Amino acid sequence: MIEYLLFATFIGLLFHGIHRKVIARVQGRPGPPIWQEILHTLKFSFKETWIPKTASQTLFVGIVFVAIAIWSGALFILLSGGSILLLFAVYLLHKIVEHGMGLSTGSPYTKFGAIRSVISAASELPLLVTVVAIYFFTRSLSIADIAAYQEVHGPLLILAFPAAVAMYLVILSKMHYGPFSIIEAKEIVSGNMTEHFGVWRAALEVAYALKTYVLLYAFVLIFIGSLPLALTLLVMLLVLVSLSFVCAVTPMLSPYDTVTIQTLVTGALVIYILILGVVMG
Amino acid sequence: MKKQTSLVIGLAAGGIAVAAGLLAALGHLPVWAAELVAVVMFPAFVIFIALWWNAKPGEEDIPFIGY
Repeated sequence: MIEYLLFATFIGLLFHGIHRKVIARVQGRPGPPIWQEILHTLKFSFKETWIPKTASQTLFVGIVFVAIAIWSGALFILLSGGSILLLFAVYLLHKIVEHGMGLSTGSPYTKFGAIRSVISAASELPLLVTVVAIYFFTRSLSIADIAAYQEVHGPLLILAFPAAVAMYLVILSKMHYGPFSIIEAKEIVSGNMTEHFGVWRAALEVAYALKTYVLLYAFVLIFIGSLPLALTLLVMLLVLVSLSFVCAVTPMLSPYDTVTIQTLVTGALVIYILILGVVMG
Repeated sequence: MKKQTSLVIGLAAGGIAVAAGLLAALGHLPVWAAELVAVVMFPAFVIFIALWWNAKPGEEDIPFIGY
């Protein structure tokens, strides 16, 4: 079991490196090597590690354990073909992790990050609507059933394209350096992660690598179907590169614009679902 | 916490996760139970091993609480 987690962590960190590389090349810079994020994580693990005096020690440390645990759990939900609602629950728990991480330190910068994570809760709305849209087609929320449905009827990427766009937006909202990355914006240093340094940051990089792997894998499973591992990784990479391109050419939005766009997308999806409801009964 | 304590906890967490995986592969443990063990043990494995190699060789506690 632990080998799946180590593999997903390695690929996730590699994807983060590729993400940075693509952004740099689109912006006309050479960029770091693609294994930079792996080195970055190792580097953090050797840096001095402390717990700030102003922090809630239990929350400060515990939140890092929880961050890794929830995305480890999410990976096993995907591998076992579990319910998409459980994946949705993990996504909501991640929001609590972001918020708790910011509030645990006592630093004003991390608190700003925590508050922004609450503001950006609008990013969950497209995911919820995606779940409903998928149910209209497959009549099941089990990932195994969704994959089986696609083997017969073709990929949901084509059948339910607006839902795929919404899920894509959800993944985009969780990417580093993206238009919706307001919780880690440079004007608030590193946002909610500012005080988590050294080993804590290295562990968070592991959690975020798992998160990236899980979200991309979920997109492939839910909208394209069950593929051989090599092909799955290739499609995940293609989705990642497209996300990196969007991140490279889009400036970071203000918190209010972030909420507005995500709410507008949700509104459009609700109209789509109403139409689906009328057409498909 | 002492450097040696970190190593012991990290290795124990990793060992338990590997053992649960092996037991599940041999059919002595349900797969979901092995997955649950991995979910709980993997964070401990990552963090305590990192704390161990981060710690200096002296007798001081890690992580430093201050600043």
